[in-house]
Amino acid sequence: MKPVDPRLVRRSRAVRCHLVAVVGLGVVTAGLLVVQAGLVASVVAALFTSDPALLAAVALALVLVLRGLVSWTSGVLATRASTTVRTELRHELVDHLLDPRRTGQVPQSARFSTLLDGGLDRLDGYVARFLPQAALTAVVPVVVVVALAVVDLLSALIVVLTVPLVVVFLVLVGLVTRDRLDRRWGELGRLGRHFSDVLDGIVLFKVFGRDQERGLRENGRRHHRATMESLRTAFLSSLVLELFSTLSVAIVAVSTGLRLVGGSMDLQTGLFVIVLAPEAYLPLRRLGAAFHDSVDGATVAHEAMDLLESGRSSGWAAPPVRPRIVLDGLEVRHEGREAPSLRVDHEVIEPGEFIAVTGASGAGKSTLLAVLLGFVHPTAGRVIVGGHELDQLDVEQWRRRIAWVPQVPGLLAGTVADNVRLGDPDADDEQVRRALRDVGAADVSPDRSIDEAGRSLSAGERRRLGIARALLRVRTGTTDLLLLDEPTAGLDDARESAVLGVLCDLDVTVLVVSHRPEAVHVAEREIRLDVSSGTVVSSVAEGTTR
Amino acid sequence: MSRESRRRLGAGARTVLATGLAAGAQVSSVALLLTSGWLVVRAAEQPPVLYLLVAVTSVRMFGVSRAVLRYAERLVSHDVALERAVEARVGAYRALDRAAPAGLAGLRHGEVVQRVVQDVERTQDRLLRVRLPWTSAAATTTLLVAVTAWLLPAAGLVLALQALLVAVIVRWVLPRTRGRSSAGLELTQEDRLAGRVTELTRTAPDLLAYGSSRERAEQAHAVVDAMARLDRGDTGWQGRGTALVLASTALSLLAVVVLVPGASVPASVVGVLVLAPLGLAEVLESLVEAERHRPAVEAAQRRLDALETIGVPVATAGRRTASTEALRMQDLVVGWAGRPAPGAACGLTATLPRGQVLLVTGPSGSGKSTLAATLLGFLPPVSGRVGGVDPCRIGLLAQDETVLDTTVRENLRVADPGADDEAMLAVLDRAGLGTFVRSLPQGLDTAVGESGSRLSGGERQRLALARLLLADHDVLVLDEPTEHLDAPTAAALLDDLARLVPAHSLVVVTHSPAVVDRFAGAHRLHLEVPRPAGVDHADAALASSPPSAT
Repeated sequence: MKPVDPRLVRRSRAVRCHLVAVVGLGVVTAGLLVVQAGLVASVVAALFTSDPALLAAVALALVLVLRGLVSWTSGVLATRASTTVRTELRHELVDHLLDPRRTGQVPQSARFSTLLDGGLDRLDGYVARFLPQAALTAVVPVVVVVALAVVDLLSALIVVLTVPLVVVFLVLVGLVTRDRLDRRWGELGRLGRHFSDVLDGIVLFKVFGRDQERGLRENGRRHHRATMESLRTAFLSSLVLELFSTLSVAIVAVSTGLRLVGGSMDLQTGLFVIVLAPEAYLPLRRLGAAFHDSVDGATVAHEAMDLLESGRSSGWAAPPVRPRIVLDGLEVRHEGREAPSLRVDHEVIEPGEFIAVTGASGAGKSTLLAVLLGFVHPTAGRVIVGGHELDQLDVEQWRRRIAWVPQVPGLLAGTVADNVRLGDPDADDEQVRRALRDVGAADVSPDRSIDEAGRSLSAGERRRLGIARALLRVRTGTTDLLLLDEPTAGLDDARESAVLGVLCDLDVTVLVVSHRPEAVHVAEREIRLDVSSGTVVSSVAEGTTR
Repeated sequence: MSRESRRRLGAGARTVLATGLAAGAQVSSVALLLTSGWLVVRAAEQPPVLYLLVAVTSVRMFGVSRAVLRYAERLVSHDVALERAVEARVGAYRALDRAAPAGLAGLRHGEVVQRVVQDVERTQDRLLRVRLPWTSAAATTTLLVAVTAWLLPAAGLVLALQALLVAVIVRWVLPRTRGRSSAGLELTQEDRLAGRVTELTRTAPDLLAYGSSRERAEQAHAVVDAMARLDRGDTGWQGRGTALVLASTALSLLAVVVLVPGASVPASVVGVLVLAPLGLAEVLESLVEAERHRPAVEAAQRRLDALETIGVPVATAGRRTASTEALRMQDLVVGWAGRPAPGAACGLTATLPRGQVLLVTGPSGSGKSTLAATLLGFLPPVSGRVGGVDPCRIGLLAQDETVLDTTVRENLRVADPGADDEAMLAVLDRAGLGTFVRSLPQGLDTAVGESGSRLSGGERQRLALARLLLADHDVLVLDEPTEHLDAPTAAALLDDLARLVPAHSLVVVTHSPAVVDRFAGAHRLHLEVPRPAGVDHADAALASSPPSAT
């Protein structure tokens, strides 16, 4: 785990400004610490010799108040920077997600939304605590050593020798324990996920009457034991850190004490050394604590950066009207899967055709639609749209010529009408109502409100709403390709035939993915996808033509 | 020596031990500072070196004990916290299990799961990051005050007052200046904003395909800005705590310096008296840090407590005895949250004798799936009765079944933990998935991905069906069993389902003519919603044909 993601620093102006600010404040803090140690020494020395100490004490109090102000300021700056960074990243993620020219699969919504809401809050530990502490760790020991060197070379030398030694030992302990921890990590992750798996499947376990309490306890015990074993190792590094830093301070203290006894050093110098020396190790110890806070945040930062790194389509060509679409040697493979997700050797889709796309589960039916929409880039082969390769087309203009009904249409909070109007923002109420009626959703009132999760609609209603949306779009007349993914699943017979009838009457190219014989029946032609043989059986459907 | 045989202390004793260790570590830390101070000042009096040996040894000892005690404390406290986390997990599971699925209907399942997991994790911090710092700070402060008071009573009083004041302000006054807090499961403003962002991410493919992503992006940016405004309200809270500690330290230092010359204290302890407030500052800062964690920990605890009260508990009879009785519905009205489903408002009456088939048909949205949930006892009937078969003897194949993020084998084992490969492959064959699973390089051990994402929709459904077939149920409720299957597979599946019949009773919810034809002789229950449509819950008529022989 790298604590600082350089991409974050490079990308974010707020992070860079924040870094400059914390280093500046770190220098001020280090200076104040030196002055404080000096004043403590002179106050004690004055009291020791019964001299007036009040002036130095007032100065010391002022320094403490100043340190308080600096710490307040850095707190404010840190929170502000962390908020700014989060906000910047959120804006970028939104832009990125909704960028029409972004290429590649639309990322899983769950991953994205956790990043957008709570996830990025975990950056707080990283930006607001780890980074300032890292700056202090870089600045304070250096200033302390310089100050020590001015008054007492020997103590400075002890610190100079031991600070790197502490770091060396930390690295050594880290190296020795890393393998052990790495081995444990996988197991811990697996055991840790068990609880979330149980909650995910809570309904399922209830249906099957499988009580999970015993499993949770057993797994909890294993997780407990495994965690403790790795903690025993993981805490070793802080043990080494503490042990070495306090022993180093003790060495300084004892050597100072002995020189005082010998009379080779005066009290004020001795006190200055004894108060200041621990400050050289303190930032390092605190950094260790802040590191744990930051790991979470660093993970989130990595994830956000990974999501943000993907290509943009550079196509520019205007898509031809009513194109003929040629699929040539098309193949889509997903990482980690042996078999391709889609394979089409050669297929020509003529303008105005009504084609049923069939095939066994996993044959790539939905993937084919995603390729045509420009969401998925083929691993091999080409899609030629009226003489242009698909990726040469301006993807935004191309999508304007497509109406798409996904398996689970996405819904926006608002009314049913708002959602249907996604197909044509200028449609009037009558057009919306007609579209709903035509897809057998006359019973779904256009004024019905939908919450953001779409829970107020049944799966069937949701699908019909998706078809109504596409229908509205086709009726604007600027669309010549209609892609439907299982549009009639979950519909009863009467509604299914009504929907299919409406689709047949449209004067556009239609690709309908379906298992249902009724849909295949009304199609002019069937494209049967088969990944293993790589061949496409195209057959003219028997029976009805339009 | 096995780990189990080793005698372990009880959790309570270990908590006390952890508290003691934490206090010991902090005391060592302060003692290290004070002994060093005494050593240096005493040394300046140039006594024989012998007089300093105790202090020299103490400095070294405190240095070592601080590190070692801290290490031990972390191990013991994490041990206790991890043990408590198991109980917290079981408690949260119990609460959700009691409410599922009806009680969870209003909550987004995935997000609830994520939050509960995080909250349980968070509650571990209650001991580690809130309680232990407070108890050990209290112990250390007491000791420090006692030592100072022994040397100079007035100085001890000053430190005691300072500590008390800072503790009260940090604990009770400063939190009031903080804006945000969330209680229970209800949505905070943040949650609502987050919900809108989630909606946009879920709808992103549709927005992209329909070319309206740009204008929606503007809305999303507005939401992000609103979130940022909320965050900004929180600025600088922590810095104020540290500033308070340092300012109060400045005051007590001044007080000590003013007090010392008037008192007859030996010169060698002035170092200790001046350094004591600085040592106290270190202790008090740990309180500020503890309070930083408190709001999140308490909010997590409140949310977990609120789980106990969600949803309508449905009595689940625990007996899993096989039943030979018929499944009976008497004037059964089903619906969510007491609102009758349109097709079942007038009461359903039907009898399904053991080993026969009941076909439930009706238009989309008439309440067929609601009926299924009621039969399984997930949803209390709005009125009327259902009985004859214990709900836990009824199995369900829902339209969108949960597939666990694990292997095919583990998904099947949910139904029967003792099943062997042969039994698993047999049910996979019957669900039409056997060939596919055998063709996979890892076979039954193939991971299916998050929510079964590495399977197609049809494969997912067939895996769920195989799982159901593996379980031991008297009555199987099949909600559109052939929905995602292609025609030949569907036909083969129907044949397999028909063969289940003498051993099981089937409730088949469907609108597919193929399914209706296949079970032509079955009992039928038709849920009808009267047209004209347009109203969501119109009065519904019901037609239930009299039972006929299968």
